[in-house]
Amino acid sequence: MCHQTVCLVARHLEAHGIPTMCVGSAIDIFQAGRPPRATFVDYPLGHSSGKPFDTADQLSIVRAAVAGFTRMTAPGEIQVLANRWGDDDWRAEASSTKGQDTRQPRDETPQFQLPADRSAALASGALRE
Amino acid sequence: MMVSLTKSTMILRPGRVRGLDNAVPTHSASLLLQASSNLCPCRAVVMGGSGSECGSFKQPLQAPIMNVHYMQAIRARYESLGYTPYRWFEADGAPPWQPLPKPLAEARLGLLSTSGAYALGQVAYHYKDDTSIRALPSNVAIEDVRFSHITENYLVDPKRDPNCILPLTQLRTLRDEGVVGELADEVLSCMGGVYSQRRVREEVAPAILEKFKAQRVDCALLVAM
Repeated sequence: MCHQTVCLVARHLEAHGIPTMCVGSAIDIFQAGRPPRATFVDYPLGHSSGKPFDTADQLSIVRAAVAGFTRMTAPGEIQVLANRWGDDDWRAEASSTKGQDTRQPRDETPQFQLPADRSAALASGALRE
Repeated sequence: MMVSLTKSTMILRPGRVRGLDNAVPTHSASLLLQASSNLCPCRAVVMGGSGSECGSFKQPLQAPIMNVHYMQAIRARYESLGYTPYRWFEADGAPPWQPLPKPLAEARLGLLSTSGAYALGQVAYHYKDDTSIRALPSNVAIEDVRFSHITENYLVDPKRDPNCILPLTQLRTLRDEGVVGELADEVLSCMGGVYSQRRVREEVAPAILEKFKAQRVDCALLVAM
């Protein structure tokens, strides 16, 4: 869903004068949504800018993405990165057409990562009781 | 037209992507391949309009890999749960295009991550088509970055290392190296799991545009989760 959102936002920004580069890991959604420029990294969702704590991997992805601003010259291109996740075990689960709905209940109250974040938001005045 | 791999950039178009999986609707997306960097020389093959194909398709350097087809999988998964089939956005026209107005090394870069990032002290997102936006200071401490998103299951690693999905450290490095001129003072995030495409068009996209314009960015990197 996030990939669809970036496609829509990228097209809007570009139409209003801001060049964009989308980075993501769902190439089919990029192909359908056709953002102006896209970089595809074949990782499980949640890792569009690299593996955790792997600075070299993260930097190679972000470096290639921003280089695309200069390299890519026609609308709708997708550059495919050669970065490899390592094992392919995640593909089966990601491709599964069965199983439970893994999304959270559609609650309309702020869902803080940590309880202390709520206190911090109250303290800053960003959140009111 | 046979295309051979060289160290120079290859831009192949118009194209239908092959070698990923022919079942994926590909429209005319074309892939840009380069052999000399981490751009993949062989993973995908572009069919030219005349039926040409990349030489690497016949002799792949690596074993073929099946890309995950999220649209099909999610559609089928929701159907099996008894939900109405989701209608994914499928662009019916070529994307708009705006060339970079100045060299990247002089450009001011904006960042948007749809991962539901917020900074300590800010309000978290909610899970029901939350279309709000957060602006985090570009110099925020990495350990003060938090996330909330309807698909929390994808946030396991970002919660350990936010750079997985909000590449702050890497963008600071590229700025310090002079690859990009400067970063906007704030980086933007939203909770990209908004199912209403109308609300993305009418609420999220205009709000992001307004923020980026106020930041006077020359270009923007959009990281999807």
